[in-house]
Amino acid sequence: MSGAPPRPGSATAAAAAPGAAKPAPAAGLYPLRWRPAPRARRLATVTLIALVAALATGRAPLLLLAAPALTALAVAPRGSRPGQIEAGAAVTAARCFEGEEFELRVTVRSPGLLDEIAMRLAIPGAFELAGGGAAQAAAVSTGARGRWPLRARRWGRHRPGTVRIVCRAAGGMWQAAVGIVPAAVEVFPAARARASLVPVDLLQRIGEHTGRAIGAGAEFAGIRPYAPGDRLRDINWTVTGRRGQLHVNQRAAERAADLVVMIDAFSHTGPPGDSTLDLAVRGAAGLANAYLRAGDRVGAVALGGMLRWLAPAASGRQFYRIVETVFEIRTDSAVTPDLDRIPRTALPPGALAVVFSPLLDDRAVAALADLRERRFPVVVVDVLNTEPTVSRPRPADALALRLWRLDRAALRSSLAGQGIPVVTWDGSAGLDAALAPLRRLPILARRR
Amino acid sequence: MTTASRISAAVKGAGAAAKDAGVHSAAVSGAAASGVLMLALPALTAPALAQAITAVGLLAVAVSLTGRWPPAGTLAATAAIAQCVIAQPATALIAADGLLILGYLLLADAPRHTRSPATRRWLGAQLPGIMAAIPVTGAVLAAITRPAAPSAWIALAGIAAAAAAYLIAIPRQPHPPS
Repeated sequence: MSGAPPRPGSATAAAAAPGAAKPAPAAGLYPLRWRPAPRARRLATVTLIALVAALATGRAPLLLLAAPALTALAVAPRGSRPGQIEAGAAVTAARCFEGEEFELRVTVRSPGLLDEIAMRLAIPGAFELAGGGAAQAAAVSTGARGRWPLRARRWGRHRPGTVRIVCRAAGGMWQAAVGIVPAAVEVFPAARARASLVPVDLLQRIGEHTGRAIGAGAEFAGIRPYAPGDRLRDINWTVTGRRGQLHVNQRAAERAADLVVMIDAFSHTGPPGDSTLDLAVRGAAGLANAYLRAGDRVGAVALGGMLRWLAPAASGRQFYRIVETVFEIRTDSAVTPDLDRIPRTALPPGALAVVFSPLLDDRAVAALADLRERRFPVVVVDVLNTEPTVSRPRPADALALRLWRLDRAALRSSLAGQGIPVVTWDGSAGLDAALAPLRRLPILARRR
Repeated sequence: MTTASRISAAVKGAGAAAKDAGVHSAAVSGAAASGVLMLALPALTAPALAQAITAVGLLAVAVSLTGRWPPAGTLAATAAIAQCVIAQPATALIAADGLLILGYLLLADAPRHTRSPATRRWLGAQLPGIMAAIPVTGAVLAAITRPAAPSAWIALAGIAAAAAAYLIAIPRQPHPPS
């Protein structure tokens, strides 16, 4: 796929991603290990209790309580139980965006008749049921089909749960259980943004951003005296009439930009699904998508765990590459990133670096300073959406919280002093609103 | 797909769901009725102390019908047996109670989340067990009510027969496939 990047929220956008062919149902043979079912144990227990009661009290009529249950056990069919079943699980979309729905389908086939085939889906936190219940069943059948509409709640590569299949045979006296784990579903972060942060140093490539150089764009850039070769339609007749000499309008060149989104995964806090890392990933994906739609080149760098990067590119596939890079993020690392390891192609000079960070880890702050020293235009999006909680409002706690806030303010001020603007985005509003203060002027790569 | 066909499909789907729920509700109602009766019959002649067992049994019946705690069914049936031991009702009443216990235990096991025809087939599959239990209960009832001279040998033979029946009836692990 080399077209435009996807629109988050479109029903089949992610499914149309490269390599997102319809997943083949992972059917397989599962051996059954039969055990006495709860029904058999229940009838046997009741029989035993009634027999013991009859013997202990010496009252023969109590045998009448045991007789029916014992008879039901005795007349239960002794037919052969299948040694294995064929079961498969498939999802209707191997890739989707957060909030989108897909269906998990499970098929069970048995070589022999089963009294009951009960299926129950244990759903992980990354998904939720979009309708119906978690349990489905078929009775007196050689097969069963289960369908669960699921909604993706959290980005990442997740398996949509485990389906536990319980087969009962021989009059419900025997049962065997198997578990099926469907293939993982890639859930892409959904965030909408419209790129408008423009670095001063733009590429010598036609794009949608208004550059400082004079060119053949649409934006007005100035007026100069006419020179041979100028187009007649560029003549500014008002100025020409006032000055008595031909003048032409100049227009700004429209250039493409390089954007590198960086995700600080050194530290993350907050509830699952709404943590700082979740916000960072959603913001980075939204921004990358917006720039790619404008024809810009976008790359990604994941700070945290093993340093991962992706060189900027402008194709529609790049969005999926970026998301797959993000999927590999690990947060359990004590390694300090060495930006020297990132090749020049992955972090080209003049590229606008937008860093999504909660600014909680010194290594991330050091990386920001390092970037700035390399004269990259850097913007930090502070994604910290929580504050340290105070269990009991004591004066010392309140003071500590105040000091913490002051420390954060000092850090932001220090970054601003280095020429790194910091905006706050807590996910409640759109990313565009958070970036609005930086839109007035192009992002400058100040020389120190 | 037109709006009319959509509405028609939705109505059909709702109708099928209601039908499915109806058959399953019938099974659950049957289990509830059997459970209440198996506890109520001996409770008619039970002393006041035994009414506490009735309350526990009824609670166990209610819990077992939700399917949340599987041992609840066994507990309810045990409560019914305990009441028969304490209340000492008439022999015919005990025979009826035995059949009610069986009916309750079988119906409380009705599969949930199945379609109406499947539930019907399942209910049909339970009939042989119940139909077989009725003549057996009748035979045991006749044997008990028939006057017979007390004999240690008969008692011993009865215990041996019950033990043999129990050993024959309880399920065993199948032979591994050859």
